[in-house]
Amino acid sequence: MSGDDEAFLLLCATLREEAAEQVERIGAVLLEVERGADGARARALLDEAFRQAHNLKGASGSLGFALTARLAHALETALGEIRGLPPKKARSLFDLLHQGLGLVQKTLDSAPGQDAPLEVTRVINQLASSSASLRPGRPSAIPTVPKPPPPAEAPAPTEPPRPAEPTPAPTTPAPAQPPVSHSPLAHEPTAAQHALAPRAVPPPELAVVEELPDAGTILTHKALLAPAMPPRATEESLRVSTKKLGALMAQVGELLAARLRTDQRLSELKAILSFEEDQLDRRSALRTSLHDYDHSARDPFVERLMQAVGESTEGHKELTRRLRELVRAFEADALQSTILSGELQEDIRRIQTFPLASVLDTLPRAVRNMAREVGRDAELDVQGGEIELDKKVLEALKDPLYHLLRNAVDHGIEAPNERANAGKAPRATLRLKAEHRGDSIAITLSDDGPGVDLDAVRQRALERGLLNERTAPQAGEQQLLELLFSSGFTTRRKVGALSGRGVGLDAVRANIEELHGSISLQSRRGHGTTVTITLPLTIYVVHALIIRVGGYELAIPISSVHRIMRVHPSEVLDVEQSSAVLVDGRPIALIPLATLLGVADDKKRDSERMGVIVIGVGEQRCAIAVDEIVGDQTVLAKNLEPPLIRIPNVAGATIRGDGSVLLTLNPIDLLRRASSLGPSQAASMAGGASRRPKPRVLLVDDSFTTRALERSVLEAAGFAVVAVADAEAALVELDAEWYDAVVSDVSMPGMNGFDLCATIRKTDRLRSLPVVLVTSLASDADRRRGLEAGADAYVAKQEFDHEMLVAKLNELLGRAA
Amino acid sequence: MSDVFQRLRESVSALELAITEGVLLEHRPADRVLAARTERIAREPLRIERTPDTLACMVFERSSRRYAVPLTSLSEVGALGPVAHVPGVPDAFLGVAARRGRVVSIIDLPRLFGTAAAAAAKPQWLIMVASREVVCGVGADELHDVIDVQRDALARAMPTFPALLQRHTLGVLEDRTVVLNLSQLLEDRTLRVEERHA
Repeated sequence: MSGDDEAFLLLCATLREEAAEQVERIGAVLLEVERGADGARARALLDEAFRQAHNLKGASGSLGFALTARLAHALETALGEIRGLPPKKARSLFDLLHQGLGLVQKTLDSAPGQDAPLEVTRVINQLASSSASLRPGRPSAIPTVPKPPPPAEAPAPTEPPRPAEPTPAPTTPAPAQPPVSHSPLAHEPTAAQHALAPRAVPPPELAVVEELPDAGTILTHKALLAPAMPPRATEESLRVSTKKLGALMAQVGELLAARLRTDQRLSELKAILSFEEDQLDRRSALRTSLHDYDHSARDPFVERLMQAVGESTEGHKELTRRLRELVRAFEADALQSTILSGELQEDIRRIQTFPLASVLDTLPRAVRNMAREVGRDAELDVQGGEIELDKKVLEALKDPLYHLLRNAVDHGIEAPNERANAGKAPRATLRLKAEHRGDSIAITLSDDGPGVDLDAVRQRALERGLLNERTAPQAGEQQLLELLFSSGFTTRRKVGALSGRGVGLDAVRANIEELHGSISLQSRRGHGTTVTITLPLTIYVVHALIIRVGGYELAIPISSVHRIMRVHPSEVLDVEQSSAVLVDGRPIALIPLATLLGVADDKKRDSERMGVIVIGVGEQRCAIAVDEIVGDQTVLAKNLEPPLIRIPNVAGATIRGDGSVLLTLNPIDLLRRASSLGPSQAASMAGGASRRPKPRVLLVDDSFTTRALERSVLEAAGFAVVAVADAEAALVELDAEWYDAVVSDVSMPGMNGFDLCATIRKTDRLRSLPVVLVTSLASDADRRRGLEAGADAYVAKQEFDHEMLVAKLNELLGRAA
Repeated sequence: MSDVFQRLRESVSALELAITEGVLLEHRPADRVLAARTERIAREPLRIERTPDTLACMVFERSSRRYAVPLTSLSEVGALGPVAHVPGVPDAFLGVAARRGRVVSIIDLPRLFGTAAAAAAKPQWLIMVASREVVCGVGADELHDVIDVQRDALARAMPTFPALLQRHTLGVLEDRTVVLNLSQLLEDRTLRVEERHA
C-alpha cells in the first residue's frame, strides 16, 4: 500500500469517526425534540442537527462517498422541513430520519462501484417524498446521481472512491432549487416564542451550488457556512491514540518506581547523616574531656592532640552541617517529585477517563429504534451519565449494554396492547442507572416488563440437559436465573430480529469479566427484571490486598475481598467432605489458594491460626487460605505483555518500587476454579476431616482434683482440654481462643456456672457453643435452673459417670463415639 | 467541463493559501480533510533497500547452548533484575520482569525448544526483543561478541531440530551457534498463553 493510499484510508477512518459523532448528535437532538422540547429550544436543536447533516454531506462528498452525501442531503432536507412543524405532525418523518441515521455508517462502508443498497435508496426516496409532501408544489431536492463508471483498476471492496481522481461531474447540473421558504405557520413565531428566542436563526438561504465528485449536484445553504448556533467556545484538541497514552502511562509507572528508589537513597543518606552526627558527638565529648584535662600537666603532645581533635571536630561539624542541608534539600526535592509524579499519574489517568454519558447518551435513540423494529413502545431513562470511567472500560461496555437493551426490548417488555391489558402504561420504561459503590460503579438496567418466566427457564434447562428430572424441581430462583448466562441458552423458540439466538448473556458476562467486573440478574414476576453490572472505577489503579502463598507474593483487588479472618484449624468445618468456615453464621467453602493456583502448599496449618480471605463476586463466595496477609497497597495495574495474553487466575501485574513485579489475581477465575474442584480435592486442601485436630474443650472448675479427673477423662476420649479455675478466667479464654465445648462446675467463687452459661448465651459469637454443667447440685430445681441458663446438659457429680459425660459431649459435637 | 476545472483550480488555490497561511478550516470539513490528506500524501518516496550479505548478530549462551540473534531484532540488553514467577504458565516462561514500565515475560530458550531437561540457574542477562506484536525478554547466562555472519556461510537448520526451533532458525554456524530469527520466534502463535477456564 502506498503512502498515498494509507493517508487516504486514514482520512476515511477520520470521516467515519466524525460521521458517527454527527449521527449521534443528530439522533440525540431528534429524540429531545420528539420528547417535547419547546418551540425555541426545538428550533435551536433542529438548527444544530441541520448543520451536522450539512457537514456530514460536505465531508463525505469531498472524499467521494456519494451515497453518504445523498443520504446526508436527504436528512438535511428533511430536517429543514420539520423545523417549523409540531412534533406530532412530523412523527413519520422522525421515524424516517432515525432510519436514515442508522444507515449512515453502512453507506460509508459501501464500495464506490456498488449499487446503493436497496434500503438506503428506499429511505432516501422516502425522506425526499416526505420532505416534499411537507412543501406542496416544490420538487424534491434530492440530486440525481449518475452511477459512477467502473474504476480502471478495481479497488478493494471497502475502499471508497479517491477524490484525487474524481469521476467527471454530471454535465447537466440539477435544476437549481428556489430558496427554501417555510410555511408561515412554521416561521411566524408567537409572541411568546419571540420572547423566548429573540435570536432565532433565520431560515437558511439557498445560494451556492456545489458539485461534488460522484455526488452530482448538491444544494447547500449559504447561511450554513456560518454557524447557525452561537459559536461554542472550544478548546484546542488533539486526537491521541490510546496506545500512545498507554505508553506514556507505562513511563509514568517507571517514574514512580524511580521515585521510590529515590526514597531509598534518601533513607541511606539519612543513615549516613545519623552516623556522622554520632561521630561528631563522640569527637565533641573527646574534645571536652581533653579540655578538662589538667592544664598544668599538659605536654606539647597533648596540646597538639587537642589542636588536631579540635580541627577534626570542626571539619566534622562542617561536613555534618552540609550533609544535613543536603538531606533537607533532598527531602524537599523528593517531596516535590512525589507530588509532581503523583499529579502526572493522575492527570494521565484522567485523560483516559470519560463520562459514562459518552456511551449512555446514545442509548435512548437505540432503544427507541429497537422498540419500533419489534412493535414495542419503549423509552430509556438514563441516570448517572456524569460518572467517569476509563476509556477502555467505556469502549468495552458499549456492546454488553446494547445487548442487554436488545434483550430487554425484545423479550423483557410486553407489546403496548398487552401492557394495556395488564394495567400498565402502553410505553414501557427502561431505566439505566449508574452509581458509585465504593471502589466500583454499579450499572443497573431495569425494565417494567413481566419478569423472567422461571418455569420456561426450568423447562428449557431440562430440554438442554442443564437440569434433570431430580434437580429441576429443586432449582431455586437464583440458580434458574444463573442458567440464563449459559452458552446458547434461550427461552425463545424462534429467533427474533433482535434476540433469541442464545448468543447473548454468556457473551455479555464474558465481556464484563474481561473488565474485571461482574453481572447478576434479579427478576420479579409481573414487575420486571433488573440486570446489575459492577465494574471497577478504574482499571489502571487498584487497591489491593497483598498476600503470600507457596513462595509467591500476590495482590488481590480489595473490591472482591469481603472479609479477612484468622481461623484456627479447629474452626474449620467438614461439610460433605468439603472444608468450610462460618462467615456470618453461614458455612463458606474454604480452599487453600495454593491449590487454586496449582502451586506447592507445604504450609502446616494444624496448630496456628491461618489467614483466610473471603472473596466474592455477585452472589458467589469462597474463603481462601493463605500463608500470610502482608498488607494493603494501591497499585498501578498493568497488563502482561504478549505472549502471556490470558493466564488463568492472573488479572495482571504491577511494578513495585524496587523494580520487582507483583502479580494481581483474578477473583472471578479463582471462584470458577473453586467451583470446578471436586469434594475430595477440597477436603484434602484445608486439612480435611482426617487431619482435623481434636475438639477443644474448656474445662472450668475451682477444684484442682476435679479438674485433674475430668481432664484425664476427656483427654482419654480424644478431646484437647484447657482447664481454668473460675468463670472469669473462662470468659477471658473464650474471648481469646476458639473452643468446641465448655464443661463447667456450678459452685465456684465469683461468677457461678449458671451465670457463666447465661453470659455465654448472651454473647453472639458463643451463642451456639455447647455447655455441659457438671455439679454436685443435683436437685430438680438446680437442674431446671441450669437448663434455663442455657446449658445443653446437666450432669450431677453424685452420679458422675465419665462415659456419660463423654457420650454427652460427643452427642453435642456431632462426633462419633 | 471547463467550468468544473476552473472551480477545481480555484479550490486548490484557496486550499494552498489556507495551508500556507495557516488558516483554520474547522468550519469547512471538506477543505480540512483535503488539507490533512495533502499533508499526509506529501512525503518522500520509500527507498528500496537491498538485503545485505552479512548479518550483524549478538552471540549469547544459555544452559551451555549458543545462540546468535540479529542486532536488528534486539531492543535492549542488560542485567536481569528480579523475576516474578507466574503460576500456571509453561516452564519455558521463567516469569515476568519490569522493563521500561512494562511487564514482560522472560523466556528460557533451551526449555522452550525442549533441548534442556533440567531447570537451570537463573540467567544473569536479559535480552529484550521488540517486534510488531510482542515485547519479550530472553534469558542468557553469558553474552559473547557481536559478529558479522556471512549469509552464505550459514548451514540450514537440521531436520532433527525440534519443530519450533527449525521454523525460526536462520542457520547454524560451524561453532554450533544457532542463528535465530528471534522476533519471528517470539511472535509464533504456539508460544501464546491464552488459557481460559472451561
